[in-house]
Amino acid sequence: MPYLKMILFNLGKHPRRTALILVAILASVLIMEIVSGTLEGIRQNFFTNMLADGGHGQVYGSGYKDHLQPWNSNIVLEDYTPLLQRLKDSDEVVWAEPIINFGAMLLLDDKNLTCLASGIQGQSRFFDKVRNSLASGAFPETDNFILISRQLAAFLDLSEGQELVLLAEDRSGSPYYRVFVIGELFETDSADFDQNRVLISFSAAQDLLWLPDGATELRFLLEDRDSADDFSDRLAADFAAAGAELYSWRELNAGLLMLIDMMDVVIIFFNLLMLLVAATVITNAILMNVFERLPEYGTLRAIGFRRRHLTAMILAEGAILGVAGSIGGLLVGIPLVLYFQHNGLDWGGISEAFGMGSFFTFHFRIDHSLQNLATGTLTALGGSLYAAWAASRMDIIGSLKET
Amino acid sequence: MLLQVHALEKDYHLGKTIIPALRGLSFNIAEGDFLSIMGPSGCGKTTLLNILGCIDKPSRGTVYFKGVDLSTLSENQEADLRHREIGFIFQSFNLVPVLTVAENIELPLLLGKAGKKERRKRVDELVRLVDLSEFAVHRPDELSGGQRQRVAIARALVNRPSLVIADEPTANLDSENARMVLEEMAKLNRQEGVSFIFSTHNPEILEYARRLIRLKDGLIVEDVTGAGHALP
Repeated sequence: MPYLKMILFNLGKHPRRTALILVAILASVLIMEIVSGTLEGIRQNFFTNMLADGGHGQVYGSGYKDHLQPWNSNIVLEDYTPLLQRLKDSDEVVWAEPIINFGAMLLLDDKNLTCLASGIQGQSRFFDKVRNSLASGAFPETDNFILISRQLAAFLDLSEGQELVLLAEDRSGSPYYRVFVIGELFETDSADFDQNRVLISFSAAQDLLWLPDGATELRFLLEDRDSADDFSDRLAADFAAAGAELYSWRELNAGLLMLIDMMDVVIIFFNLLMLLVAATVITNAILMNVFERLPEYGTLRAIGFRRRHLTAMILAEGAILGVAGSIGGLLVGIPLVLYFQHNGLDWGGISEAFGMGSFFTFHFRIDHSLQNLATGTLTALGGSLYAAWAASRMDIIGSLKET
Repeated sequence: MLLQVHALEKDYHLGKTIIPALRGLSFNIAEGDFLSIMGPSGCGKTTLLNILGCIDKPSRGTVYFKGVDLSTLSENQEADLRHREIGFIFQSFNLVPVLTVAENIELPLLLGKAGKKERRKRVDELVRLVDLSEFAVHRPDELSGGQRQRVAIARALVNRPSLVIADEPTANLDSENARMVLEEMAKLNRQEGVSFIFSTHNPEILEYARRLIRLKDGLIVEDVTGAGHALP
């Protein structure tokens, strides 16, 4: 108890200095907590939104990878059924469906809009953000529907039930159009998606593009998404022989994943820099504390305390400050992260540019918070280390002379 | 023999200048001695006490503490020796301001293996010994100079050392308190059998010492036994 009293007294003797140290650690931990919550939110957003829509893997016609226009109607799976069956026969695949993506044009009197159209089956397990925004919560079962966003409907001055013409180039290179009836209007968190995407039925897309047995892609879900690379490697040759290219979600999102990994590295450097600044502030403040107490340390050594006892006392001071400051940082940071986890944050064009939608939520992880607590404490300990070493190196006579 | 000092020398280096503080001292100190070291400022009193107390090393010469050559000890062994065998009393008391009287006295015991009850018992003994029972829970800033020095004496004695070293223990006290402190030290020397070595440049205090070593320019100029007359 005397040690604790001595440490607490010293901290209380210089309240401004102690407050400075605490604020340095609190701010560092708070920033780390927010940054880790943000990055984890980005990851979760990627996995829940992008993978939910893009699936764990996709199959395309031969030439997809190298073609400048991946939506080109010549890159198709002419007869997708055997490939689909091949996927469904695998124990690892929990779901697989054909999709037709193609460039199209919406025609309405004096307004013509290019868009990307997707032909999907009624029971599609993908495009959750569209389905979840529909009042009925399900895709229409009819063949003649077209789903457009509220934004697009407002621009075209259309509403549910009205007709809309969709024009596309079929497999023969000829233009072909069909008249659709606007089903429910959707609204996702991605302005880019809402402005450029329309959904029609799979059979209507086949008719429009003259693909009676074909599809532009097969999209599938695996039991274990982390096995996608291995799954892709094993089946690639088989699918290549059948004129198809099989990709895992990692391959399809390599750029985004690299960006997320880069963010991890950048954030590590950012955190290190921030902690270095905090450690410098702490070192300076604790050094001042220590040098004011040199006569006390000299006395303790004269009565038998070893250097390591003094080192331990000073490090304990740093540890107490580290824990207190870190807890303070978490007390502010965790509620903030939880708030944005619940309410989300609109990042607008920043995240849209990376295809992640404009709105995503933070994500709280207890292990990250514990990590941040440990980091804050270790930073304070690191900052005290030099002071502890300096104090313990002083000879007894020199320390006593400071009286 | 408690201490044997042979040809002790200590030099201080100030840049290129070498200043000899001690120039070859040789003497012995027996157990139970109550020894005063006197001399003008700069004669080497503090240097000598620091070397005898194992907080400084001589440049040349040897010091034996209970037959052990101090120069053969490692730093940790020196710390252990100070903890077990030597008590210090400082001119400025050097008490920890945040701790109470009892806690200041208890400090050296924290390094040992004694349990809480044992430590409490020993502290209570010392508090009674220096007549500070009613001040046990007071902090140093609530005590007079003489009372603080008595706390320092109690702290120095708490581990039952063989030797207590006091460097100018009364320098910051008025004559009344100085006398009280010296009488306390003499009483403890008598009752506990602890050897005391204290330095002073105040000739009035000398009457309490049973042995006097007078230093001048780093040399012993006088070594007299039975010099004091205030003690029984």
